[in-house]
Amino acid sequence: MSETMQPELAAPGNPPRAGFLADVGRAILAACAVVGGMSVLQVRILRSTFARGAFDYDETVRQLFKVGVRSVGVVVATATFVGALMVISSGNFVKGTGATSIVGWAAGTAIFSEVGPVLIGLMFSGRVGANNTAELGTMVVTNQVDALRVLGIDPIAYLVVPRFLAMIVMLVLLTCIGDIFALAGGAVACSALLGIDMRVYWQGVLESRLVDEFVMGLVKAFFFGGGIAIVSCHWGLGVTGGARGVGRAVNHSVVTAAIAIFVVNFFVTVLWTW
Amino acid sequence: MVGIPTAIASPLFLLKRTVRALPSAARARRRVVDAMFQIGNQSVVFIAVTLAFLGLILVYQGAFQAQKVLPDLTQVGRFFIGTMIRTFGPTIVALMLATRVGAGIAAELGSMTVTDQIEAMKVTNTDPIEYLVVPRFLATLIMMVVLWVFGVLVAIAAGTLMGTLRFDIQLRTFLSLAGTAPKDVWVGVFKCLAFGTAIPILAADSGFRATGGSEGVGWATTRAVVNASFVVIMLDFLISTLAYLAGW
Amino acid sequence: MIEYVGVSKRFDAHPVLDHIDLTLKDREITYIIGSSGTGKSVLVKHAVGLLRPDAGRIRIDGQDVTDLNEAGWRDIRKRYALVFQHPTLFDSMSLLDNVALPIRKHQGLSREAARQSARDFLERVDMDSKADLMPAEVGPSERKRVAIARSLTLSPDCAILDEPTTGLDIVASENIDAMIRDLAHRMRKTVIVVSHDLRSIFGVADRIVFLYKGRIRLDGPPAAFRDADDPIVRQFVRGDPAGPMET
Repeated sequence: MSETMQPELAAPGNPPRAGFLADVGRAILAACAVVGGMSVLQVRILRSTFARGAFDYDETVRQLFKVGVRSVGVVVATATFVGALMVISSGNFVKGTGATSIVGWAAGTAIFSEVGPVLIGLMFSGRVGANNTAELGTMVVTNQVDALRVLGIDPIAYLVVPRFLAMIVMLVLLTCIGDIFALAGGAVACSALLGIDMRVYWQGVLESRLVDEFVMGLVKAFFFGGGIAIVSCHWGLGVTGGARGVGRAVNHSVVTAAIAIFVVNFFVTVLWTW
Repeated sequence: MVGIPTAIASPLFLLKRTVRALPSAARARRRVVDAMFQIGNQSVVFIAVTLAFLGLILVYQGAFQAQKVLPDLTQVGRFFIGTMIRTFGPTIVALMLATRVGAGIAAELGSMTVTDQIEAMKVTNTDPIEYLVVPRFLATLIMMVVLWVFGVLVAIAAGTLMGTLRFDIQLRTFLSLAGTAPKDVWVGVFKCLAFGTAIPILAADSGFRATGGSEGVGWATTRAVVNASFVVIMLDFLISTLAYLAGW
Repeated sequence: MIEYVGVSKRFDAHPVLDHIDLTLKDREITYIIGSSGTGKSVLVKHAVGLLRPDAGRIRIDGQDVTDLNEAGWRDIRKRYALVFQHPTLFDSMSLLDNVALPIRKHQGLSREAARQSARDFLERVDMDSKADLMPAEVGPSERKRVAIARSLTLSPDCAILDEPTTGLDIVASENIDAMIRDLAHRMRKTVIVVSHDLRSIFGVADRIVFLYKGRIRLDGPPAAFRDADDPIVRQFVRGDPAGPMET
């Protein structure tokens, strides 16, 4: 890729130590380089998405399928456990106060608005985002990206845009599915462990009218999907230095994505409930 | 893809061999300390940022939802601190550690594996478990507890800012341990020990099973993050259930 | 036609190309040779915009391309096709889909129609019988032939082959040599070959450019190369381990 997109964090060797302030300065500069590089990538993605003739329908469908198949299992399993976990965590409180009718509302609210999107996003980043970085990174170190360029094919339009769209669409879909499984996991935990009738739980979920929370969760999933795509493509395309470089890029990719998820999550909630 | 039996048996086997090799750590204190320092260095900023935002959002949502039901915000702080110590603190810190440290271990050991450095060690009679896994295992285990304390403190600090500044809860009301029993702390510690065991073992196992060049290392790193995160959630569920059933 | 005017390129502090002036004419088979690390690959990568010169200008068919952006290069790369030293097939696709991809992208064909057309290209390099295998399932010379077929789908005026015979056994190299002759004489393409393999040069090349330490040491027909007085060129031709050449 163009030289501006090389991430600076992965600089080889140990820079000479020059005290705390210099370290902080370097960290800030590195963070700025990452954010700057990702902004440039975002602009290029948008430009390529709407450029005439550049959109690759076949590849986008292939990516949608691949992303979905790859992550649905782990997302569903995680979501189910998380739902159960939420209910169990409220167990002591419910037992202490006897407020059994509150469980459905509490689990539903937590799952729809915060825990569901964030944990599903983290798992999605670990599965799909990390994999994407590894895949693109391998293509870079084996010159396959340059091969695309010499064939006159724009790597952004061909490689990045389909992944970007696929991750957004699939994470929103998976969050819907995951929310349902999490609620179901909660229901099972509720009756099996807390000894509360499942009907009370489902009634609590339904009567709380959590449409607003549900929609907010999907909005979060939309931004998480786009964010994970940009982060993972940025690190993947910036790989240097063989096998070790690919491993390091995957690590940077999941770390950056996790930070992005927590930060974006906070701001979406605050803006949504303003 | 590896079949499910290998995916379960292989890390368990590695765990057994690591535990058996633990006494060797007495001779390698230096390497354990180095590994601890590296883990702390790698993840302290990362955990501070993510846990701060977690603290902010939990207090924000807690207070926001509480306002809907009853206009009494005095319970928010104690409830938040208790949940942080027992539930969210261990889980989220462990997930972040799986992401940062687990992936790091897998990338490192994975690239050593595909470049035949592990084989070279065996040839020179150096046990890779003793030399590579044991220090990382102990360091991750200890640092998991340390970073849990750190992460919880950061989250509480951030949450306190949100509670006092945005929702006008009095500092003394907010910072209350009334919602935290000693057993909550013990459950938290216990979770940390379980997660701290699982993360390095799953990561190292995934690194050792890397095959075939840069693609293999990428796969190993990915697998480490996913497996470790998933196992953290499962163990969390398991421990929470047992703790609840035991009346803790 | 590719013109280099005073082109220099350095990596870090290390100069790789040092004021290169060179014109590569159409319809010729030009071999660019020299020992490893003398900047041969770097030189041809400038011709397709994968690298940019630190100084000097590059003109292609009369057009100054030195400051072109990615989108501008895309059209030139369709006319000047580069085949990398390590055959860079897309390893997640079958050989057929590798060749079909540029056809689908540039001719606006459906996936199936592009595959039909790709089969013809694979036939030209005698690889049609293995069309459905994955790149990892075939040998290095076969991968190379598929990579060449993939570049030919662009119907380029000029094929640039980076080390096409390196690492191949003699029979496979002869095959590639025959293909190079076929490209030039039957398909009437310009062919530029980067090589340090002397075996095939004398039978195939129209012109030889010898690079040494980032400069052009000799430029002429094979005969001039073979009979050169320059001690460094002579050492290279003989493959003599002792001599004035720095390696």
